[in-house]
Amino acid sequence: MPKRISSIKPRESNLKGKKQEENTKKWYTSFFARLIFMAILICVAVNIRIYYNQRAELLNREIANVEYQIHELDREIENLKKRKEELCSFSHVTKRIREENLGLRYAEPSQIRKTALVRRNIDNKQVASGTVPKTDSQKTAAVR
Amino acid sequence: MIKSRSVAGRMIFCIAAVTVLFVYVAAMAYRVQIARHDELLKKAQGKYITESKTSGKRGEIFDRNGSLLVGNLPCYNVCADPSLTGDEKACRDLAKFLAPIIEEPEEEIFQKLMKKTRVVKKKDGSTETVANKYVVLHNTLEYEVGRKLVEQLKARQCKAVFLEETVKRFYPKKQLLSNVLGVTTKDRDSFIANVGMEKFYNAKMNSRQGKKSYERTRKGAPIAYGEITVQEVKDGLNIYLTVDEAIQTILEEELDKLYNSEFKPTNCFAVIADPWTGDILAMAQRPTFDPNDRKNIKPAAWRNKMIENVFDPGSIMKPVTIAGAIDNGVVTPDTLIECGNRKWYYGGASLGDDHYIGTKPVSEVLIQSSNIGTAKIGVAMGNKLAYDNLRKFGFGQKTGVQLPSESPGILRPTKKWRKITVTRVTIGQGISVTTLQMVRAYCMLANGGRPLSLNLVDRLEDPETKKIEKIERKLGESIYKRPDTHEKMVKMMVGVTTTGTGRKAAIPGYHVAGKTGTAQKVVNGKYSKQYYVSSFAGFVPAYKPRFVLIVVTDEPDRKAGYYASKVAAPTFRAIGERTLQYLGVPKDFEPEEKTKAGQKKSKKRYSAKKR
Repeated sequence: MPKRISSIKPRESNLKGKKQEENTKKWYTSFFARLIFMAILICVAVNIRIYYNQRAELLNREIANVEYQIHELDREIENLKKRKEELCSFSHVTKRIREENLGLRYAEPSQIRKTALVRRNIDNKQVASGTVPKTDSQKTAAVR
Repeated sequence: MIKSRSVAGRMIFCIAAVTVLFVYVAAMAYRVQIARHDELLKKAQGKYITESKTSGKRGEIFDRNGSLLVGNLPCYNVCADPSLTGDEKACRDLAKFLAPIIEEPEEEIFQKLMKKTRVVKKKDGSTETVANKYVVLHNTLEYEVGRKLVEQLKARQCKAVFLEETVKRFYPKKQLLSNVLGVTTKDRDSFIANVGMEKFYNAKMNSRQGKKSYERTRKGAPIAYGEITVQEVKDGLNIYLTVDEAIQTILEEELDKLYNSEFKPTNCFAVIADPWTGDILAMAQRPTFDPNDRKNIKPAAWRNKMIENVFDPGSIMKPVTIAGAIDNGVVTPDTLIECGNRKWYYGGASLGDDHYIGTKPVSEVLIQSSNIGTAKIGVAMGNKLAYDNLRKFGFGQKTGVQLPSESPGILRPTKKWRKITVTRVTIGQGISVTTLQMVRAYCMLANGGRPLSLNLVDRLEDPETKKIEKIERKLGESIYKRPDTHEKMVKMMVGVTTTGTGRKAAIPGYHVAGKTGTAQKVVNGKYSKQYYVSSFAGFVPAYKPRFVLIVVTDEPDRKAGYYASKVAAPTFRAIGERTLQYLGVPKDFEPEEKTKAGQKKSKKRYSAKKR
């Protein structure tokens, strides 16, 4: 008499079981793969962020240094400007002229010649095209 | 399907536990992120967000040509942390090192460095002894000295002493115009103006503090993003005066000579103004002070006596009286006035002249400066006309100059006048005026009677936007009713410097219109015979005036001479001559030269002197 193999499963369930196993394995693989991929992405993003933050901080420090240098230079410029004003003062100059015995004196009004510079609004286009309007003295000169 | 019951049970338990954990984390996250968001954000900001304040620059003062008169000079405060200075020996060494550099006594520095603790008063009134971490060893150390000290401290690796950046008010021209500019004192980061222009324009010259809030790192360094500016810093306005530095220097040099001369006056003042705009080109007084040297300033020198002090002007008031009389038809330049035999009695009092004048026309009354003649003209004018005339020339009113504490002078209303008042007020007694009021009156005499306000400020400038606010000048309509009043007055006043009492004020080559004044001072309610105010006021060139100049000498030495013709007139000439030369004003005529024998040479063309 053939034995009843109660443990022998029907073929369909065997197949199903195998399929289930394979599916489970695929699911685990894809799940962990995604997990690892996301972890790598996060890691890369965080590191990139840290890197740029560090760069930004280094630049900030450089900016602060340069700002400080500018500030110091501004103070030095202000100091030199004030010293220059002191040395250019009328009383200081006349005192030095006396001390050095330079023999300078004020000019008489008749010795002073003044030139008046007249401001004219001339366009670059007028200059380029040669159509700059003449001054009164130029016109009278042309008539003469 | 899980067949084993125990495994299924454990699975369910794990899932439940993880679920509870997740729910707990979610609940906590909700509590922190949403429920307590505002409270925790505030705490975090309080820890990582800092507010910094920056001070702007106080406005500077320049002359009309942009030459700096008052500026902000960078400097340092030298400070120390006594908790880091070490023991007595170390403090002694440090004090010995610092003393010659910061010019402070060594012992004083040592005492400050040794002060390791200080007593602090709490809110509840009790006291507590805490470590002293801050002392100031020296204020406003020079910039170059400070830079060197920083290097020296670095070399010594000294961390106990440090330098704080600050600024101080600096006057590069030293005592030039100091009574007008004024002084300031510093309270922490802000300047407090005490007197002068600094006080008048204090609000406009003060800067507005800037406030910035930003996130900082753990070490305190600012993080670039997230910076918020709460308030922009704003520098104060710069002020450009009408004063010309060169003319101011000329004025001050000549005043120095007068102040140190044989006359040794108690005070002396001089003012130069443009009669067409009211611009003050220069004004100075002696004694004065150097605002950079605070230790040696005497409080008496601070007062601007040209606007705060009043005096009886004396005979320099006579042109004002006579101008009013001529313009109202009371007299003409040729009207004869009986000036008597040096004494005239009127209203129960006597009035005298220095010398016999006799019967003279009005022009000679002015040229010879007759008190009796002018008083009689005043009587002929009457109280109302005399008073109105003085008011039209600006007496009893402020000049409008941009300085604090200006006095309007003293001109009593006619209802308080006695019978003799009109005879005194018209000759410059019984009326008190400031130097600037006289300047304004002479500006009106020079410009044909047109009233004006005196100006010390030309424009205000915003240093950031460069926007300019120009001060308006107003020249009013002439107070003269007759068109020839001005010409007649100028002719008479030229006579004062050609043949009259003001000959020492004459400037070769120019017509000078002016008047001397020697006025008795009031001492204990009476006119003194010991103390005088000697003045000369005038304008030049007389027929096309470029400037009005007044020189006032207070209490010249009586023995050396007190008459204005001797004291003030020569200084007027010296200042006027140099100023005309500086301004390049062409001469009115070629001066005649005299030979040693006193004979006049023929006129010759002017040529440069050869050395």
